Amino acid sequence: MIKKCKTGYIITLILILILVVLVSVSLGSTQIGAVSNDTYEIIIWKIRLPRICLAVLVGGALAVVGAVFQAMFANPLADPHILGVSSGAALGATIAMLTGITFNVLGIGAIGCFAFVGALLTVLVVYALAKVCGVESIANILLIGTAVSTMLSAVISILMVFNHDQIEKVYLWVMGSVSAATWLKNAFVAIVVIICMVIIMIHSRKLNLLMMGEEDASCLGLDTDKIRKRLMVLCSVTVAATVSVSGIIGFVGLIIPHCVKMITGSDHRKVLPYSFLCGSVFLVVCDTIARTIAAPTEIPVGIITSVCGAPFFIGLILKQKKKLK
Amino acid sequence: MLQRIKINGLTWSPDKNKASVLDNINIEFEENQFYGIIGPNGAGKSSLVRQIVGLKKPSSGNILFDNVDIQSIDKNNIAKKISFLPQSFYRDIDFNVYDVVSMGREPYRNYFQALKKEEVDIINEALEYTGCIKIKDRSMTTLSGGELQRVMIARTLVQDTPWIVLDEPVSNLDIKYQLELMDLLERLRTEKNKTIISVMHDINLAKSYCTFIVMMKDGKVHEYGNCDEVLTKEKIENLFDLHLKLFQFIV
Repeated sequence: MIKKCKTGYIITLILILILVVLVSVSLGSTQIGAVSNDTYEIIIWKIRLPRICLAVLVGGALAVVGAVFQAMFANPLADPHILGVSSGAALGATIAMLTGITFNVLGIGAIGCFAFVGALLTVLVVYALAKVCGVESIANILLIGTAVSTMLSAVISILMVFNHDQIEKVYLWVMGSVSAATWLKNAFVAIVVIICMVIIMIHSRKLNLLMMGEEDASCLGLDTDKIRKRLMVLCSVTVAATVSVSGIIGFVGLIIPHCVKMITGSDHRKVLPYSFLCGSVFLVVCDTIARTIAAPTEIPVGIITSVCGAPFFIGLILKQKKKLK
Repeated sequence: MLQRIKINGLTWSPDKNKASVLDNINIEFEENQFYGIIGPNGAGKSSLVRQIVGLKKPSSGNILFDNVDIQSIDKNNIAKKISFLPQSFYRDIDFNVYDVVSMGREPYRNYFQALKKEEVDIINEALEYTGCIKIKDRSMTTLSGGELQRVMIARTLVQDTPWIVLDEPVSNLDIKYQLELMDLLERLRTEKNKTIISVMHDINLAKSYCTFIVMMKDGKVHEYGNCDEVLTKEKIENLFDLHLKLFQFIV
């Protein structure tokens, strides 16, 4: 069924996304009435819409990167944070918070810039180490990524131990949130995400070949090393850009691709666009819950994605299992 | 002019400090023949075919495809000349048969190119030829060993290469599918002028289908030549270090 009406599903998902965005705009700690005035305009245009747009971009991008990593590393547990990118970003952000440096580049503050640079530096270190150990081994990249990630998390913990007064700030940042969104920040994330997503999706057929295995893909004429490196760079830049403005939002990149694959199969020409739209919808819904459920207090969206996502995901797996029986 | 693959003094070891898996191999393969590579486990058969398709780089010596070193040809061009069926495939990927078979056109397509009408015809023809047309919408995860092997052969046909290299293609198949697959390969050679190079374990099948035999032992070419000359009782006993009783059945 899904094979025959690909466009139909895409249009349905886009309509669902628009609906979710509209509902999300109307919900919040301040009730929006039918009559618009200046305050409402500020709430909608300067607060709610920017963060909803950021949630659309970040949710979609994380889901696509998760799908690419799961295919590329042939590992169902791979998620966008597996290469240590996010830990690098978190360390960068922590250093910026603890040192109290303030500056602004293209609307992004010191914390965001430090996080972006930290993320990219970590990826470079992981690649350099993987190259020394033999870059052809995917397992090496994953293991080194995990080791570097764990080490950086430990460094963050040490920094937090010595700076008690800043623990809450760092902790909330690491939990992930789209609350700091502005149109300027969104423009930066949108440029990076749209460029990277377009190039990644152009590679969806090549990604299908990679899934057939290293040897098989090579025998079908694919330069596997080149494609893998290219995709890793694109994914790392995407994750670095999203993490630098929203912190580490977990679970989206892990569960959304799996949910999509349960419906579409493994073909990445479908998995990638569907993952983007589903990831966007999921994060907008979670963010709406995060800012309304305990209003006016806001819960970091990373917590909501895990709390809502885990039972939903387990339910899907059980349903799938029943269907197979 | 006849196409040929010439192997000159090929030596290969996976690690500098380890013993050679392939040791000074010199053979020549000519087009439109059916080559069987036989030998005991660990003789270097699979390593040799991986060298032929350019998957591994020789430690010394070279492999010439029409007088050009195969390592200097880019992967996409090799994929237009030689197709390779490894021993096993990932089976738990939820692709449908048609999509897998159409992957055979990848060497001819760029990033944006959709399948042309002629290519769709080639795919449908290959599906018919291998008897896969009825299962074209099924997921790879639901196929039996025999069906999977036929799907992969269909993909090879779609890849449309003059050379087909196989690594133990019948090892997981029952006797019916073994014969079906070997008949199919033989038809490809005679009807479509393909050259087949296949690692084989079954000497009876090798005797029935191959035109030339390469016997390998301890990383070296033990015997090489016409099927009838090479597959003799003495040479097989010598290759496998055992005593044979030969039975001849006339069916």
